[in-house]
Amino acid sequence: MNSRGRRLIFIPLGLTLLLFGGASLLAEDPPPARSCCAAKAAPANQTTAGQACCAAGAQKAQATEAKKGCCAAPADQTAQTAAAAEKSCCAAGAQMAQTAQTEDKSCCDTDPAKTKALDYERTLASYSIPDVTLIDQDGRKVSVRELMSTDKPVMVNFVFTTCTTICPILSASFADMQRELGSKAEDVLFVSFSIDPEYDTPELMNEYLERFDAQPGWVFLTGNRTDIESVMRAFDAYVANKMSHLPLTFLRASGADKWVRINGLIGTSEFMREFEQLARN
Amino acid sequence: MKFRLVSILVFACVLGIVLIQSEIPETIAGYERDEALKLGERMYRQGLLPSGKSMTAIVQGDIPVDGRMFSCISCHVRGGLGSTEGTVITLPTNGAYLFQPLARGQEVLKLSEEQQPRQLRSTMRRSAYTEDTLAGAIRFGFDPDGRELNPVMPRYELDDDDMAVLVFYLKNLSSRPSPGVDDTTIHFATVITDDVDPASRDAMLLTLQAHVRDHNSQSRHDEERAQKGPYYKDEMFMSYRRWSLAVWDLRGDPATWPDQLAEYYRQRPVFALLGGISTRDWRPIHEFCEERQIPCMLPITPYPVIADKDWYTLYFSKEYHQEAESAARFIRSTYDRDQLPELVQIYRPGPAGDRLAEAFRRTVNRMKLGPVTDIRLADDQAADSRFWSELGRQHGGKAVMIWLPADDLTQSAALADWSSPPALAVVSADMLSGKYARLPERIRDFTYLTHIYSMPDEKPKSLLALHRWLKVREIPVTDEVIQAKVYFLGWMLSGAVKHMRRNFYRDHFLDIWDMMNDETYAIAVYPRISFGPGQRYAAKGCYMVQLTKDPEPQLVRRSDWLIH
Repeated sequence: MNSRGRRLIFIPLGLTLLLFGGASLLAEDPPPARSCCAAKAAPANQTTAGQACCAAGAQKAQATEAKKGCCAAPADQTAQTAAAAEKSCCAAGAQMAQTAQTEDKSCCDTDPAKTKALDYERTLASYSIPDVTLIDQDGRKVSVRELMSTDKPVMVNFVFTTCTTICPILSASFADMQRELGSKAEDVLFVSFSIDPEYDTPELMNEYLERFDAQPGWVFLTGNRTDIESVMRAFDAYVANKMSHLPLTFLRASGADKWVRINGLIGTSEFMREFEQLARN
Repeated sequence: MKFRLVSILVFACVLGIVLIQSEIPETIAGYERDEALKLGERMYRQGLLPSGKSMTAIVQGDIPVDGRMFSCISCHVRGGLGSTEGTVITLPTNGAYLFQPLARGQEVLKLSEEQQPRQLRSTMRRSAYTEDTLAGAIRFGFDPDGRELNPVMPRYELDDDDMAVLVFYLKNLSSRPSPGVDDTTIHFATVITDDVDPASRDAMLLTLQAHVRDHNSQSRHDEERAQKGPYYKDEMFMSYRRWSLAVWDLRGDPATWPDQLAEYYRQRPVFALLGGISTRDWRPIHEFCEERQIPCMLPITPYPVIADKDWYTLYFSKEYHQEAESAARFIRSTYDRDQLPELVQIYRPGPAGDRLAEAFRRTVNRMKLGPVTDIRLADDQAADSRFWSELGRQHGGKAVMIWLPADDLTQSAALADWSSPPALAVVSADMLSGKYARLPERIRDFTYLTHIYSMPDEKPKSLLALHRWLKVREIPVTDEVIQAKVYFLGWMLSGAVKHMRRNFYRDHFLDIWDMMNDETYAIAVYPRISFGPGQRYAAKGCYMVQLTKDPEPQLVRRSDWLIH
C-alpha cells in the first residue's frame, strides 16, 4: 500500500479512536459504593459492622442524603425523626448479625426516651367463645372452645392467606414472638383465624405458616362461614368486608378471664412488653 | 489534495461523533435492560434478589422479615398502584407516581395550580423522588422531603446493584397506559366460539351489550361534566371513557384460535376481554391472554384452565374440578381418619369425566385419604345392571364416585342390592344436566350430588332483580344462568372501571377486582362470590345435596357452601 493509501486509512481510524478514547474519559465513573448499613461485612465482624456502619455514616461526609439520613440525621430533621432513623439503622445492623442477642440491639435500647414508641389502642375485654368446630392447617377438626380452655397464655389474630398489608405484619409479628420466646414458645398458644374461609383451605394455611417459619404451637383455623363469623363476632372483630379488617391482636394470660385487645400494628418490642405484663398481672 | 485530506478528516470526525452518540445499550448494574426488568420483577413479586436469595428487611421497627413472608407486591400489589386495607393505605409505587412531584388532590385538573383559588390549593405535597432518594426511602424509610414513612413499610437491606435493579423496575412499572384505551374510549372484546348455540350466544351477548349501552348512555353526563364541571371534580369526570365492545367469533379447530385472536387483536387492540362463551376448553384463549397480558373477565365455559399461579383470566368457578374437590373434602369432613372408606371412581374418558377423575384423584392424594381405584368405561361399554352388580362384588362397602351422565344411571339401582352397600355414592349435578329424575329412587338415600350453584329457592330477590333489569331493557329471559352471570359481570365492571380512574393499566385493573368486596346480592346463581389478590375462581363452594324420593325430585341441602 502506498503512503497516500496509508494516510487515507490510518488518519481517519486514528481520529476515530482518539474521539472514542476522549469520550470514554469524559463518561461518568460508575457510582461509588454508597451502601452503609447494607454493606456485606465479613461474617466474623457482622455485629460490629452493623454498629460501626452507623458510626461510619455519621462520621464520613458522603455524597448521598440517604446515607446521612441513616445514622446522622440531617440538621433540619426533627429529633424524633432522627431517633427513628437511628433505630431503624440499628435494627438493620441487628438483622445482619442474625441473632436476637441483647447486645445487638443495645444501640436502640440504651436510651428508651429516644426510641419512638409505636402507637396503638389497648383495651381489656371478656369474650364468650362460641361452641364451633373449625379445621386446622393439618385438616384436623378443632373445637374452638376446647382449644381456648387451655392453661397456656393465648395470642389470637384474624388474617387471611392472600391479605395484602395488615396480615403479613400480624403474622410476622407472631413468627418473631415465637422466635423471641425461644424454648418457651411451645408454652404459648398462637391462634390465627381465617377471615376468608372461601379461599383458605388447610393446604393453603399450611403453606402460609411455612412461609413464616411457624413453630409448633401456632394454629391456623378455617371452616364454614357461619362458624367463622361467630368467632369474629365473639371477639368483636367482625367486618362485612375482609379488606376492611382491623389490625387486631388479642392476648390472654394463663388462667385469666379477660383478653388484652390491641388495635394497631406493633413491633416485637411492644408485643413482648404486653406479653410480659400479662405474666405480671 | 488538501481538499481531499480535509474532507477525510471531517468525515472521520463526523463518523466518530455518530458512533459515540449512537445507542450504547443501557445496562443496569451490569444487566441488559430486559434482564434487569425480569430480575426487578422477581424482586418485586417474589422477594428474591438477583442472586436467588430472599430479600431481608425490618418492619414495624424491629421485626425481621424476608421475601418468603411477603414482598413489595403484597402491599403495593401487582400493578404498583397500592392498596387500602383496614387502616392502612399503601401508596402507589409505580414510575409515573414516584418520579413526579405530588400535591394531594391535583391528579387531573383543568386548572393549573396557579389558576386554582389559593384557599383551595392542596398543602399536602411531596417532591419527586430521584433514584437516590428512592433508594433512601427503601433502605431507611424517608421520603424526599425528609418525612418518615409509616413503620409498616419495611426498611430493606439491599446493596447498590440490587437497589439499582429494583429502582429500574419501579421506574418502568405501570409507567405507560396499557393498549386499548384512548382519549375517549376503552376498547373491549368478547369471545364466542362457533360450538355455542344461537340462544346461548344471544343470552350472553345481548346482556353484555345492554351493560355497555347503559354505560355509554352517560346518565351522569360525564363527558359534559368533564368539560364544564367544577375543577375539583375533574379527576372523577375526566376519567370517564365510553366502552366499545367488539365480538370476536372464533371458528373451526381450536388449534387455529390463537391465530384468529391475534388477527382480531391486530385489527383493534383491546384493553380487556369481557365475558365470552364456549362449550369447549377455554385453554387457547386463556393462554393467549396470559401471553399478551390481557385481562379476561369471567368467561362462561365448563372447562376453565386450572392454574393457581396464572394471572390474567378470572373464572366464575373451577366447574368440574370444584365438584370433585368438594366430594373429597366432604369425605374428609364426614369420616374420622381411622374410618375412611376405600375410594373408587367410575368415569368415561372425555372432557368432563377426565377432569372430574383427575381432580378427585389429586385432591385425595393431597389430603392423604388413601388410594383411588379408577374404573374407566369405554365408549362401547354400557353401564348396564350387570356392570353395577359386578361393581358391587369387587367394591362393596366403598365410597363410589359416579362421574357419569344421566343416561348411564338408568340401571344404577343395582347399587342398592349390593351385599355390602356403598359407604356413599357421589354424582356430579353438572353431568346430570338437570335430569335429576334419572337417579333411581332406591339409591337416593346414600347418593349425594355435588352442586356448585345456589339452591333453587335460595336467592329469589337476586333473581327478581335480574328479571326486572332484563325486562326494562326488553331482553327476554332465555337462559337464567348465563344471563345472571353476565348481569353480575357488568355490575362489577362498572365499579371496577370507576376505581381505575385514569390509571389505565391492565394489572391495576385486575388488582382492583381482587380488592372488591364479597358479593351475595348481585349474583343470582351462586350463594356467594369472593375476590382476593391472585384469586382467579370467584365462586369457591359447593353444596352436597340429596334428592327426595319423588318422580320430580327436590334438592335437599346436606352441607354448607364451604366444605373443608
